[in-house]
Amino acid sequence: MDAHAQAVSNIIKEQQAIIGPVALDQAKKVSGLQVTSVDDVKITGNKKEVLGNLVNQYSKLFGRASVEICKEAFEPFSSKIPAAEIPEILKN
Amino acid sequence: MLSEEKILAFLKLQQMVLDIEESNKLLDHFLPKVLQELDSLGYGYIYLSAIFIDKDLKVKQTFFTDQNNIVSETVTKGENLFQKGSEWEMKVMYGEAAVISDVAHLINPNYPQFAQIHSMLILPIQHKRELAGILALASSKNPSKIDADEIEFGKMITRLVDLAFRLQDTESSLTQITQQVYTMNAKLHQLDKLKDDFVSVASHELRTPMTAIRSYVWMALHRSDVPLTQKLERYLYRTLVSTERLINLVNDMLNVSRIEAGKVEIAPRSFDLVALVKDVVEEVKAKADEKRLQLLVLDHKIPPVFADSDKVHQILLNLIGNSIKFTYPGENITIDFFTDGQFVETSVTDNGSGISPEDLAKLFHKFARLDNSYVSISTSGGTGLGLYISKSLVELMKGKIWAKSEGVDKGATFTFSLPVATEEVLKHADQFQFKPQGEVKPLEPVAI
Repeated sequence: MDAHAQAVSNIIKEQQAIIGPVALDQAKKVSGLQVTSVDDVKITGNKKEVLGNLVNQYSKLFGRASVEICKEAFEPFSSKIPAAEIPEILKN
Repeated sequence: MLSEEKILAFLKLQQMVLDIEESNKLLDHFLPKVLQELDSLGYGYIYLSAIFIDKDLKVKQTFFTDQNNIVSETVTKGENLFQKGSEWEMKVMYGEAAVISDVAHLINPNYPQFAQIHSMLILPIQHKRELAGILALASSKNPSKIDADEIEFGKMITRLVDLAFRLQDTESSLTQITQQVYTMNAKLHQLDKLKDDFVSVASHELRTPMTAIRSYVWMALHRSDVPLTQKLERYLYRTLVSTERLINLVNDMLNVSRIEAGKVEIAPRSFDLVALVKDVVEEVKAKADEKRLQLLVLDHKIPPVFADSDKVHQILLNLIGNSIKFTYPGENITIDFFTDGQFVETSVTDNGSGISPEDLAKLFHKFARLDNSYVSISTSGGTGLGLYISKSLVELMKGKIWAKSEGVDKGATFTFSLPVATEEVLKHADQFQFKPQGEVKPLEPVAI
């Protein structure tokens, strides 16, 4: 898995710790993202957009608090992904 | 009677209400469609406004749409609605439609098409026979041109507008509740992490002085310069045993916190499970001999499993160690295998103190205190965490663990399954691996 896919996987994991299986169900709704399990994630679309859409998918349902959780989960990858490839919503 | 065309238009709009996915913006999507549909029926309204009121007739929410799809809240003046007691207001309050020509007091004069509006059809929106709002349809026609058929159809539309509003309202309340629950869960999760960090740090800090105490007590007991009285020797021995028990507890707590924090790596490989079981049996033989227990490994031909051998070693030590603790002297412990080609099941069977049916359910929980049977922490020297750790490790390796017992004093069988290293499994080997983010922590040794 590349850094974007790992970040996606980590975001889903963190959301899963809070909302359970709904986290995976919501991730499966994001277009350009193939998720079989939390450890089996493939980005088929534009990586930056998919990452942003995943955060928005959670935010649409769970509000601002879910964006903060996504930011925390993304933090370990922020240095591995060039700034231009990071969606605005995940920037501090 | 309504024409077929209007009934079809109504059904189409009804389906739309039910199909719109973005329920929190349902009316913003739905009202322009209503205007379009009315236009296609030849009514050609300039704009449509839905104003919802509360029980005190105060405006709750206003929606507006015109042919340019502009959604704004300011065109229809809703602030003084039902305050004047005008004729049309009275009609609407009693559930009747009103057609008015004097529209100036209702419409913002800055609206670009203000001059073209010559009449307004005002329909009550009712919910459970109570006035819930109005649907105002601005028209360029003279009031006399608005016929009963048009009014009847408009009334039907108000039912859909009400339905859409209720759905949107419910959705918005649900969203609020969901977000509140999420925020609370997130806080709990945060606290849980803090607790895990505390347990991890505290356990680590506790273990260092306890290890020193154990060493000094051992030295006092075995390397003393002065002869020990029987009493003092007994006291020192008890101190040593209790300290060891505390160290085991701290080790298990550290293992639990590392597993739960996702810091334990699972590095699977294909290996011979029977050979590993035999190694573990050799390791615990001295302990089994102390109780004159016989450990039997039923040697079947089973395929290699795909798992982390170090973690399986830990699980076997825990299960066989438990059997040694709870089997009466002179009895047997049997380790057997079964495979269906996909999984290998390893079972450890003893004829020891058994487990009551009510305790079976709690067995794999953290600090499971089983009063009736098996693990009675105070007497067994167990920490109450071993089976929980074994379950967590087995599940991390995509297996399962379970226990069976006929009851107290009728022995017990603990079984765990692990995937066979089939071609399919090896092809998807990465799905069986677990590599923690950040620092990988080893597991502390299991005491038996």
